[in-house]
Amino acid sequence: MSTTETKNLLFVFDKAPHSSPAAKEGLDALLTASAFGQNVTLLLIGDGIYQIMTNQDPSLLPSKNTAAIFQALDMYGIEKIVTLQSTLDERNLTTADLTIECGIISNDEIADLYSAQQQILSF
Amino acid sequence: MNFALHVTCAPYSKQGNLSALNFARALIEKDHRLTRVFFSSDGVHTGSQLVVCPQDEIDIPACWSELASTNNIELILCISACLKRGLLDEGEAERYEKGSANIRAPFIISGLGQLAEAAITNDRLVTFGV
Amino acid sequence: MKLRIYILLNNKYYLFNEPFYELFSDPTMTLHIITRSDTHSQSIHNCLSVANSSDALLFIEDGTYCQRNPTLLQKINERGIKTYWLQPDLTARGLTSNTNCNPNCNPNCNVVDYSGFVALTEKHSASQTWG
Repeated sequence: MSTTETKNLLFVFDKAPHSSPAAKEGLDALLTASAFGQNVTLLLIGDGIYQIMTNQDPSLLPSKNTAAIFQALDMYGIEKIVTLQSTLDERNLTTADLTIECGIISNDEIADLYSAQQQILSF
Repeated sequence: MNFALHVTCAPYSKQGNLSALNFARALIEKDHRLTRVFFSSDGVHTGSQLVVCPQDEIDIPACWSELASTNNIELILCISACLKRGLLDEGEAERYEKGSANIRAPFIISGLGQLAEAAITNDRLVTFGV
Repeated sequence: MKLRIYILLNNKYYLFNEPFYELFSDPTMTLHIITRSDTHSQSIHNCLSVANSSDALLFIEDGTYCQRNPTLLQKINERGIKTYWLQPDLTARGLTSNTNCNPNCNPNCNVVDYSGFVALTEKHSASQTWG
């Protein structure tokens, strides 16, 4: 790549897994940006939080288990994964239902997070 | 300003593809530099040479080609999305022994790194479809 | 006579035809692009859970149907979030006569063409499209 720039890139996933390739494609893009040395943050909002629910097994469909890829994100240095309390509450979920550690950010923190981003990519 | 676009939907399936084309034209009219359009997911269908459009409808893929050729814009199709959807350039057709290629000029096939690079090197990245 | 304001940013001059007071708004604000109706998708609600008062919402495609929901618009208004509506998409859907997004009736509401859409992406430091 022709640049050594580092930018803050926010990835927003708001779709449930399995019914569309959005989760897989978003993860590929997230991993690529991280491999380019970018400062990435992942926001799971709305149905996007279903991507990291525990006990997923799409082997009967069959399709790839994208939840397993989420579990590997910290190995690639992607540690900033966040959601909103409202996203969990609307779906009757707690952090115990999630397969990876996911920060819950407050309204003040979400404003700071957004204002720090140079680009936002949605999947 | 330098702009890049990310298009995730196919022409004629969702309006987002046409919205992106209209936005691209407006960018150029306002003397911005549109460096790259990255097509992922179903968006890669935009690059098919085999699209046949009724005469009374806008030929969206042809409009993208023309706009890009006139204004030196890179039109990049995500390779993994292309392969799964049967969109192959000469090189990929040969590699997978498929007999024919169907990418329209000046679209090219490349990896997701091109989207990341577009996000890093342009002042603005605007997404359509999703 | 039209007031033309140029600003110098990153060694380039940019022309702003928008009302100049908008130049003094927070430069780190986000443009949220809404593409689905509130009756079909949760995306406007997800968007409102992250948007703040210095952000702007641009309704395009089926997002323009959100103007059929006065309660939603009032909620956006009360939070001081500016709204923009893409003219060709409003016109295509027969939504132009609704006073909910008429700037004469609602000062927080603006109708823009594609050129205005581009101007919004210039002015906001980042954009997020909600599908």
